[in-house]
Amino acid sequence: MPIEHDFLELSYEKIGFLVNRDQFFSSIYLEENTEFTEYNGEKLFTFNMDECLNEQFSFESTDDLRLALICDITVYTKMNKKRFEVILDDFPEDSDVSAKYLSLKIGSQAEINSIPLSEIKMLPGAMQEFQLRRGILGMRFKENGYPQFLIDIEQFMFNSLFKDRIIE
Amino acid sequence: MDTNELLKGISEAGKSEKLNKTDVNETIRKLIVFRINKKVYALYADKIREIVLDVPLFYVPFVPSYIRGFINRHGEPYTVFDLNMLFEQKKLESSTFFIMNIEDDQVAFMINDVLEIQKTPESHIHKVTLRDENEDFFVSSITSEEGEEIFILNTEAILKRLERDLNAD
Repeated sequence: MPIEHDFLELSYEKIGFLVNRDQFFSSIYLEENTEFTEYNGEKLFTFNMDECLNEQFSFESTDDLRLALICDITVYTKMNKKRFEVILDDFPEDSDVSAKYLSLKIGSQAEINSIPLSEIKMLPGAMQEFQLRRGILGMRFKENGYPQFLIDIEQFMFNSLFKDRIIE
Repeated sequence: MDTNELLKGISEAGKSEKLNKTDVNETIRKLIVFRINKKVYALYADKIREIVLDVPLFYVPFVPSYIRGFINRHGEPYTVFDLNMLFEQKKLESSTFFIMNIEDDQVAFMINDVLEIQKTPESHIHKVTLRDENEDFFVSSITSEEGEEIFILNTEAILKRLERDLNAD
């Protein structure tokens, strides 16, 4: 039996992305396009993952962003926790933004599927380690021939937010 | 035949035999001659696993401009090098690729078209002294029938360049 795992599949016209299901613990439907996400009475910093993927992978999305993934920051790496503290420092002290959770806006063409790990390929030789550091872990080609990139959302997001910023 | 004629004959025969022996022992190298934009290059045939046509190219972020993305070969991603971008800083538009024969990497070179497959004696392959920004992208060269120099690409140097650029970033 092939080993399978649950991934969130984000689908666009000619490209797709896979997100490890274990990297978020909940998802919510957004009523409107707001700067922050309200979740269980908490105000969450909201990162536009859809826009970030559009920019980095050079494709256009006409999707309306009505879904958000809720992620637990307490399980992030030490470096990324520090980076998140830097983000929080940018908000006024009384802004009340959660230090425990954050929210990632994604397109609405998303579903959770169980995928055999054997279908996902590591990136070729020299590219592997380089892209791993940027949050691209692997990829697969779907039956329609289009690629789906496996994204580490924690690494990908912080890399985008801090590409020109050095954290002491 | 007098002695002189006899000795001359023996000497000539020896030389000719030596010459024939050299011809027999000389290594013949198989080269694939191809075009990238307006320039003609060659690669040793054993460096190429296959030639693929009309394959879609998929963009990949963060990489140097001479890496154009990935192509799909039997479900596996192959990194595509645009050598025109690397050598001439001009983007090549093509959907023809060499799948390179590399043990621990999956690499494809974007090309325009294959011109010929040549069998060339080793002695016809010249060392290249040209250095492009201190890099040895061209390991050696052959001379075409028209008298033009065709550079043979140094695959290892091209791969090393990517490794260096990725590590520098």
